[in-house]
Amino acid sequence: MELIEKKTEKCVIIGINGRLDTINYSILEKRLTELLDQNVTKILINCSQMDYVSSSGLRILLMALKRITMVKGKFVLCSLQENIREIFEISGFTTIFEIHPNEEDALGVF
Amino acid sequence: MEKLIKGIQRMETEKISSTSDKPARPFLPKGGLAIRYTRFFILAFLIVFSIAFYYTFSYTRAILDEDALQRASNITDLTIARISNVIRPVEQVPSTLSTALESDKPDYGMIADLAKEFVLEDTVVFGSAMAFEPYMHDKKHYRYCPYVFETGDTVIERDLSSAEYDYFKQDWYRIPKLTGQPVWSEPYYDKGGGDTLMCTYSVPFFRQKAHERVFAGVITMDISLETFMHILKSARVYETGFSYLMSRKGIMIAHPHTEYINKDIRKIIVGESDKATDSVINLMLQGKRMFVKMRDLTHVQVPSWLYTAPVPHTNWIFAITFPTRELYSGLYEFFRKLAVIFVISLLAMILLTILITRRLVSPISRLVDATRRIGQGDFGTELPSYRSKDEISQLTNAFSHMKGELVHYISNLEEATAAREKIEGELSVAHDIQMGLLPKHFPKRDDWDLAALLDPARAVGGDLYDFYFLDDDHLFIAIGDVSGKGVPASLFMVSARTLFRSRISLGVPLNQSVYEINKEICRENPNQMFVTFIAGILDLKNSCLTYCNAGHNPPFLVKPTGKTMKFSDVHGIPLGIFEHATYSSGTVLFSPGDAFFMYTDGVTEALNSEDDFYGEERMLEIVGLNADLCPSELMHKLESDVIGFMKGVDQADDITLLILRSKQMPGQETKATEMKQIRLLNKLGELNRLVANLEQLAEEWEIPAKVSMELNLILEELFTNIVFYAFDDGRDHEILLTYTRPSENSVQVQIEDEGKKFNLLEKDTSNTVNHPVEERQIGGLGIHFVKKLVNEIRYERRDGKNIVILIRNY
Repeated sequence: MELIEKKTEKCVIIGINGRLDTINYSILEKRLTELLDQNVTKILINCSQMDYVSSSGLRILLMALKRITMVKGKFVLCSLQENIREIFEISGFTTIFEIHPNEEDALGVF
Repeated sequence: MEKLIKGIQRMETEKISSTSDKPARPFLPKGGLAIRYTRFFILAFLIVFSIAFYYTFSYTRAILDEDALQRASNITDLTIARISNVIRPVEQVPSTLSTALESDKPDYGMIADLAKEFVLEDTVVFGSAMAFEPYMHDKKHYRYCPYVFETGDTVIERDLSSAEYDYFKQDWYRIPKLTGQPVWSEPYYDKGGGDTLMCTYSVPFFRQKAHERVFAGVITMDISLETFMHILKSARVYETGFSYLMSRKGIMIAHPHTEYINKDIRKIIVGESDKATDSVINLMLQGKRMFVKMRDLTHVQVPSWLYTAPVPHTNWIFAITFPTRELYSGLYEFFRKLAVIFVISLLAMILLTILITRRLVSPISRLVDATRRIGQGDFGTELPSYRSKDEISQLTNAFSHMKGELVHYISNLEEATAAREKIEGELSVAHDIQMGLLPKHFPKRDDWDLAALLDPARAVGGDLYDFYFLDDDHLFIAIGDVSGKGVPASLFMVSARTLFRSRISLGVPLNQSVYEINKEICRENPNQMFVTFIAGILDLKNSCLTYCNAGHNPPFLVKPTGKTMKFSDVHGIPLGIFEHATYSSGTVLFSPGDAFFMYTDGVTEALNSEDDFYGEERMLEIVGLNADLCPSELMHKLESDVIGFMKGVDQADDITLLILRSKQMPGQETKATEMKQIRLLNKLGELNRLVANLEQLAEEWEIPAKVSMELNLILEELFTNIVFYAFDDGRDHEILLTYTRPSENSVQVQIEDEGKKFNLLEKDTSNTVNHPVEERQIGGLGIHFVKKLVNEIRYERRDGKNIVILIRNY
């Protein structure tokens, strides 16, 4: 897995490239924790290149969402692949996360 | 080294003695400088002399022509003057006499005496006549014509007034009478008078009768033409040149050839008359003074010059003629001598040129001889010494320097060659030893077959393969490619192989053994070499190969149908690079008829003459087409295709192949196809193997991507659960996954572990999803997924094992 990070005026965009699973979720965890510790409160996760996500991966996303909600920030996902979207639905995460079909729409909410 | 050079020199000295009696150099070597220079000089000499020769010749001839004209003109003038001297008195005397005859009473006796005296004294005048008109002399005579002529020293008088002769009708009388003017007759032979060839000068005289001048008669002077012959004899030029005199009518008056006298010039000129000659003759007869070239010398056909001029007072024409070649004969003679001188000097020049060139070239020739002997290996040959400092001397010095370098170089080369030959001999032994290390024959078995080959690019190679039985149920296989080639690579390869043989054991997981081996290699690897490697342990009973790919080309599974499956996973970096590198391993489940195919890049990177790679695609095509063959046949098929592809281009890298095949046994097919097993350790890193194995299975069983991903998700959750929670002792434990296909569109997975009892069906996951974010528990989500994504789930606790069975339809 690879993380591709972009800073815009509105928010930080993190692209997840590859598989997000039990072995490598800690990379994402570490990065998100760093950002949150720096008081970054607006984060967009672009999932267009994310081929796979395990429950460990989902847990990190959930953790980030919880911490940002507490400080009234915004944590948004976009561009989920069809298979991944189904996982999100099964796990009920679609109701918890704000998910946009593409990055442009997602940027509009910040 | 010095010894060696001396040795060479000694050898060469012997050679000289054998070659010194060869034939001497030819005086003029073919194609040599002497011949070339001589040829060049002769050509230049010929050109220059030809030009000078031609110019001189033309110029001299023009001068000669001018001179001839001058001479001819002078002779003509002189001769004409002489003729005039003869003729003038002949014309004066009759005029005087005629005046005397025209008086009233002429004194005939005195007149006759005068005439007699003149005839006697004058050398030219031959005779003289006085012819009167009828009765003009006296009343008695109708004709009266006294004639005096010379015979010997006396003068005889005769009367010509005979009726037979009838002088009235003669030309000499008739023409002056008609014209009233003195006239020279044409030459004629007078029979009645002088009986000789003569010309007559006739002067008319008159009488005064009743105030009228009446023609009274004619006084004549006969001259002998022989006089002119004498004059003409002295008017000659060159050898056969001559002159002639003729009348205006073209009748010859005098000619050296007497037979032509009194003949027409047109009749004398022999041969066909041509226009040029005719016009020249016409111009001559018109009295033109000219100098012309004629084709004829008037009686012989010889090209000749002609000078002609009229004789004043008379109607005569004088001509002098001479052959052209006589005019130029001196010139020709001169040039003949010149030509002889020319030829002699040319020969002298050739000889000089040859001598000079040979003198100039001889140092080069000697140098060539010496160089040739040196070229034949005779390094003792002394180069000729040459004192001057010209180019040849420089060339000699350069050769001398080259000889020194050559001796030095050759002695070096011989040393090097000897050393190389020694190494090559040793290499050949090394090759035999290396090849001896490789296992050759796989025992004949009913269940498995194996074939392997190694074609080293040089005497020894850096590739390796290995196989041997660890025990009755386990076979170790390996293939590797050491960086670099030749002896260092082969030594490295042997040490790697030895390490593997000593470190691989059934008690230790394969990846652990590889880790240890890598550490060992890194520790003693001063040259920073490395080896890409695949090591595998085949469980013969379970048809399960556990393998570890350390940076090597991906192996393939070849199905009996020809389908090939690539195992792209790499379980670690090549051995020998990094001491602390970790390695994982993969699993391959064999169905009967499956073949596991390993190769080194010497196959795919074989080059042909167009610099194209053999390539993986072509390799797989050959392998796929021959999937039904036994390993050794398949291997040789591929080998010969690679060799055919290279078309004689030297093999650049070692070619190594290893093919392991599960034999197809009757009745076994269905069962094995429907079941696959993989054993994993309770380590998170094993997740990679799990995923790779599942991907292989999905491809083999053609499970849809979505289902495959969901299975992946489920198994990852269950596996990590076991890793995290099932064991407390910190030791390695085995987790066994067994895949089966209950139907065409379903997969069953059985997961066994020896950990603490854990029934996931009893775990309540209901609050995982439907609570607000703030209240959600982290954990339990995985179990939720499992339950959601499978069609059937069962749990058993048996023999101290947790057994979870999942069925997923699609």
